[in-house]
Amino acid sequence: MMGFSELLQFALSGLTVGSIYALIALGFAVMLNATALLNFAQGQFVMLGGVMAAILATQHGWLVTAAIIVTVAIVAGISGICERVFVVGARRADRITKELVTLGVGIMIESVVLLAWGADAFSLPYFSGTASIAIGPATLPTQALWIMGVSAIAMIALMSFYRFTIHGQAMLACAMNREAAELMGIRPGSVATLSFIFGGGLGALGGALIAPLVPMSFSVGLTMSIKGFAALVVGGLGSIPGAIVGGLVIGMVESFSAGLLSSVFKEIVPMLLIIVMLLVRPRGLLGGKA
Amino acid sequence: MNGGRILAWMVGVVCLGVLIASLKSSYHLSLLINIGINTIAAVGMSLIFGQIGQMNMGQAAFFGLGGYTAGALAVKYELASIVGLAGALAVPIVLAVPIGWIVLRLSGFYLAMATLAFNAIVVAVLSQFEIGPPGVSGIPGIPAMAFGDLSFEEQNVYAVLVWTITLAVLAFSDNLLRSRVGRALRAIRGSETAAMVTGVDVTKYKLMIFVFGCALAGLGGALSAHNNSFVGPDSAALSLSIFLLVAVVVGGKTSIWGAPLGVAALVLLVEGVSQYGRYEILAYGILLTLALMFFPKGIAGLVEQLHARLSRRAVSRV
Repeated sequence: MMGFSELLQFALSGLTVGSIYALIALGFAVMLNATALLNFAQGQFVMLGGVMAAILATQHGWLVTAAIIVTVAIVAGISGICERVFVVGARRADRITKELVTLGVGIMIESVVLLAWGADAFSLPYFSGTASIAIGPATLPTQALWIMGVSAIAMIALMSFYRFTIHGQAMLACAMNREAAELMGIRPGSVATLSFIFGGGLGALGGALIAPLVPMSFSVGLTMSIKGFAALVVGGLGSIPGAIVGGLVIGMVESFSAGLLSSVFKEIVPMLLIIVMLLVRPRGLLGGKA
Repeated sequence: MNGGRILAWMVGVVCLGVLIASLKSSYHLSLLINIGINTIAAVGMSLIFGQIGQMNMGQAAFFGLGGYTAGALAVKYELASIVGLAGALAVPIVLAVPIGWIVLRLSGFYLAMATLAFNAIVVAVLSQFEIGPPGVSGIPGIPAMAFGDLSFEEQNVYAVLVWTITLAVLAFSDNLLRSRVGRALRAIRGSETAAMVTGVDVTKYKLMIFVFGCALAGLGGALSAHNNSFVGPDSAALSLSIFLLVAVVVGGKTSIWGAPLGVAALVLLVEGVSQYGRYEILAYGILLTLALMFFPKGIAGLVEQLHARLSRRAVSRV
């Protein structure tokens, strides 16, 4: 019989991984809102964030903080450039073809990482040592606190950006009605690029934060994308708070099904959850109209 | 069939026959077999995606299920290949009916996500499946296909078998799209509501095409398992669904001929860039992205454009 301490432990590790999924899903949601596109390269941006931050910190001796900040900035820039070059370049194509173009971009990123740094998995050192703290009967590595704390700050920063800045309001307007927004003098093209910069940055931040716990190699991109999709579906497509809740839910479900059942179910149960959600409540937990 | 189409088919069959007969190296034959097998699965994807507009990311799951069924029937129960083939069609059909019935209520992105989740579940379940040496996931030691005394162990004989099936699948699908079913599908693609009002049973036709498309994936999986003499969970990997989807888009999704064109283009592309060694995947990604950006209608679209331009020139000359 499982005791309370095990359950608490599962919940804590679920929340830790879930925060990363939430960041990935947030990136998806930001881009989806502004461009009506799912960026299939998002998982590769997560991977790039993890690998690049790890290499800057471990091989070039950078401070971890500096490595992460620089990595996030670079990946965000790459993401924005990819939108300008490839998505804008494919503007005559239909939605699915554009999404497949982002898939091609993802393959390119993967192969560049493979060529530049090889197939090894890279990990960052723990941000503040391997010490753990006790929460009731469970223990939590301090790295988990870093992950949850930084994720929370990023989420609050994004929400404030949407709420309080004119650019954020412009992005929201585009998500609601692109044409009306255009008539109000908002340039949807700039909003789309900005959304890719944010989306790529959020993904890279997620990758860098999780890299101490889960080593990153060039091929983890698709897996990361799928986790983000799952969070997106559970939370509600296009909903910003939904992406956060969805990420946490997927993280918890994974953690509990691995702990209570077995590691196979860690893969299966979240996927079953997606299918059930799509059938029972396709607008997700926090989505507006379906 | 009218005269022109019969002639075109005969020319095609003869060309393929000559090609198989003239290919001596096992490398080229294996490429040809590979293209045939993937074409069968891609025709299924093309029907589901191009004809009823549903992005089935679970195509690889049915491919893997077909391979596992054929492999298990041949290795564990030592049954004849024809039983294995029947099983590889039956299992996907039996599964695709309830799954199609459930997921076809969704559309667009939601359907893609549901089938993607289904694919992940199948991969996880298949990876638990072991026959033969313990610890090895998958089914090793699948014998070459044989019908009675007729063995397909020789590579060129197997190529003939694979391409006979591929052409049969193409001919059947081509005719299907020209039949009453094809007209119903075009009506559904135009407007589901309008089709429904004119008496087309939208749900029935969509489910029918979905199940047929998934069965084709199972068939391809069985042929692939016998070809590789091994089947593992990788045969159902999501990357195959993505490959098939990309092949259909690159080939041209509205025409059934997009499937063989796209598969051939992608397989040859991968082979063509493999000489660049480590730069293989990069070249693949770049070419794929550029093809999608600049030829969104695919190869079939290009052929159509070329055809239209040539016939216009012919008219203006008169």
